[in-house]
Amino acid sequence: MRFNWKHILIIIVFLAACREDDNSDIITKPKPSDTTTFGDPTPFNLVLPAHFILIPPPFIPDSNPLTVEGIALGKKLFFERKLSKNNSVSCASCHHPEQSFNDFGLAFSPGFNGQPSRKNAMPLFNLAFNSLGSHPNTFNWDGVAASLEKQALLPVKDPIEMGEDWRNVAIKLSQDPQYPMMFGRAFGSIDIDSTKIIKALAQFQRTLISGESRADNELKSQLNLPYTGQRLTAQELRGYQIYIDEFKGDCSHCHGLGLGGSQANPLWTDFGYRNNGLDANPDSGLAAATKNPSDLGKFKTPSLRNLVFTAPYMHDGRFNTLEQVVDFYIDSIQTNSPNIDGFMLKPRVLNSQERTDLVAFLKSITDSSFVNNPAFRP
Amino acid sequence: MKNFRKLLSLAVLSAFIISFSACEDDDDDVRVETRIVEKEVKKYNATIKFNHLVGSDTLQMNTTDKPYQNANNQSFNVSRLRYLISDISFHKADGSCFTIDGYQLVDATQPSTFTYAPDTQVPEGEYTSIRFKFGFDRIDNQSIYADLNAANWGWPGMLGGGYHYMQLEGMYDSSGVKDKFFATHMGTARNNTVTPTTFEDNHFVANPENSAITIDGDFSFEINMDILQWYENPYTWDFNVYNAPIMPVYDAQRKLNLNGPTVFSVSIN
Ligand code: HEC
Ligand code: HEC
Repeated sequence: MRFNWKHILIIIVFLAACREDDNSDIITKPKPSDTTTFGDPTPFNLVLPAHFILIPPPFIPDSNPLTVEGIALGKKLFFERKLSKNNSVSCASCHHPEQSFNDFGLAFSPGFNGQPSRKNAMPLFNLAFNSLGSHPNTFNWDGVAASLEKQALLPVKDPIEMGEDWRNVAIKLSQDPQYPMMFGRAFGSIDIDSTKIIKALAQFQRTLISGESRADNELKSQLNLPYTGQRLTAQELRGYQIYIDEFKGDCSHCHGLGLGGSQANPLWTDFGYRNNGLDANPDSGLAAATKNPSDLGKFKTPSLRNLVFTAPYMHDGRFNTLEQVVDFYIDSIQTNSPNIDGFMLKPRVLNSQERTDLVAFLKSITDSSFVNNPAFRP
Repeated sequence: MKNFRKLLSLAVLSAFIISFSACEDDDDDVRVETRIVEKEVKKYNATIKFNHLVGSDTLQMNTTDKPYQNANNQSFNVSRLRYLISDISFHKADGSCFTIDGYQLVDATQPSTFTYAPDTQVPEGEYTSIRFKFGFDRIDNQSIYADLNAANWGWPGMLGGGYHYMQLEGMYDSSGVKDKFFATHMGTARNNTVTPTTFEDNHFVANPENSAITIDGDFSFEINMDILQWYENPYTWDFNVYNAPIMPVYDAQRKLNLNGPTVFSVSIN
């Protein structure tokens, strides 16, 4: 596989240029009534794994540049139980850092009063790259959130998840000894409102980059990039061949060629919305956002990173194990499901050894440094 | 020093010649030369529009029925059409040409991709034909294109790697067969009937008739793809033989390459 450094150089230059632009942020000047004035927050540069040069740079909106102070505030808010009605749950209650920001094996995480959520919680990583494709910058299984900032509005006021009124959140945080100064340092004034809260949460979530696993080492070695630790075993490599083989697993048309050398997609998804044939009468899916009947039953294609932490699987958590997921793809696709993706309609034939190999491979895209990263802990 | 200057002028001269002769080769030399041409002649912006036809009808995606018929009397519909066009080139009567080093991934479900406005400007002049590559040539196919990677456009390494050239999919009916899926995917052709296995560059250069154009200002033209032509002329395609999967099927890949050149026409505005 030939590696073209010329393109790398071009991309590096481009990245550097973008970072300079980060200074041109909109900083709300403190109001005259504020007693303290705040200096400009410190711009923060995301550090990306070297092989992420294969994909477009992360999307950071001009209206919400990353800053050290904004990220610190966002992290504190992410673990803040005051965001919920009875101060019982935080974002992290359903998105634990040690679980790749997913919950502990529940299909439906309980909200502030113990009631189960309507969908399976999603793991949170590499969200800043979700800016391309047919529905760029949309979040949740059904794409109803039109940006990462807007996504954060939903759980707080959701009657099951956090059940709180945004004005109450702002009041509770204003009464806290630390928050007003933190908002001041991040956004220039001590006033607290939902806009600043969702901006800070989005900033923190954009720093959640996962790109270190044995599978990533395999890709780095294909690209002649340095890496530390092990690569894939012979069995896992067999599993990857099944994963890309159009006669066998054919998973890569949707979940990507993660080990495709210069043409690899290390995100293991294109963030596209598809119906993979789980049900003959599927839930509304993307149609909830677009109101388009041809989007009925389509859900966001999840990344295959960190699957060992994110069971159970699918938007309703119906499969407890990856073995069950693979068996579903081989044996139980509902081919009459409306708007089913064409890739689900061709035969997939795998013997039991091949199924085992495929599962072994899926488990190899596990980023332990991500789940252990102290920067992501309170 | 003197020698160096001589060498430099030689380089400039040869670069100029390269620009208007070595068209089919994607090389960074072409870019170097572009700057030199800039001083010599006026250059203009191109806007290219992509149209998708089935015979003389405009392609309708995702129909519930199967309104189209291939040369083998098999009716079909289309649920996905994505394809890659690269290195559009403008040829002169004296055999020289100018190439826009770039590409466009067209997705028939995303109208925003139907318009391609390359950054490179084209020198004024009278051109006898417009040509372009379907897919990528060998060099581009080995390079990194981040947007294509993120779109899962890569072609599996076991089949020679590089990028997809096309994904054309839908359902077909044939005598005795109903509602079968076809996925006409095209890319590098792996030939594993020979030892050792070879990986054949499978792109082709489309050279549509009646594409002469005089460029004396910003200009636009349209590239039309007739889906039916993928399935006939010279090879009459049988969906029962080549439905899905065909990516690893050498004969299918080469037949698409043979059928491809008549797929395209150009309309000059
Ligand atoms: C009670 C559990 C729960 C709480 C609390 C919760 N979430 Fe979630 N989160 C979910 C569920 C369930 C989904 C999937 C929702 C859907 O698709 O409708 C989700 C989805 C998301 C997504 C979308 C990820 C993607 O890839 O599209 C983001 C981002 C997110 N949550 C962030 C947050 C933030 C920030 C908070 C705190 C303000 C929060 N969550 C609080 C359960 C929870
Ligand atoms: C047509 C595109 C497509 C193909 C092909 C495909 N998937 Fe998926 N995959 C999806 C979508 C969409 C979902 C989410 C579906 C839902 O929850 O409604 C999904 C979900 C998953 C999940 C669950 C992830 C999670 O976090 O819940 C796993 C694991 C998975 N796929 C593995 C595979 C494997 C292995 C293959 C090949 C055998 C494969 N997929 C083929 C589209 C696809």
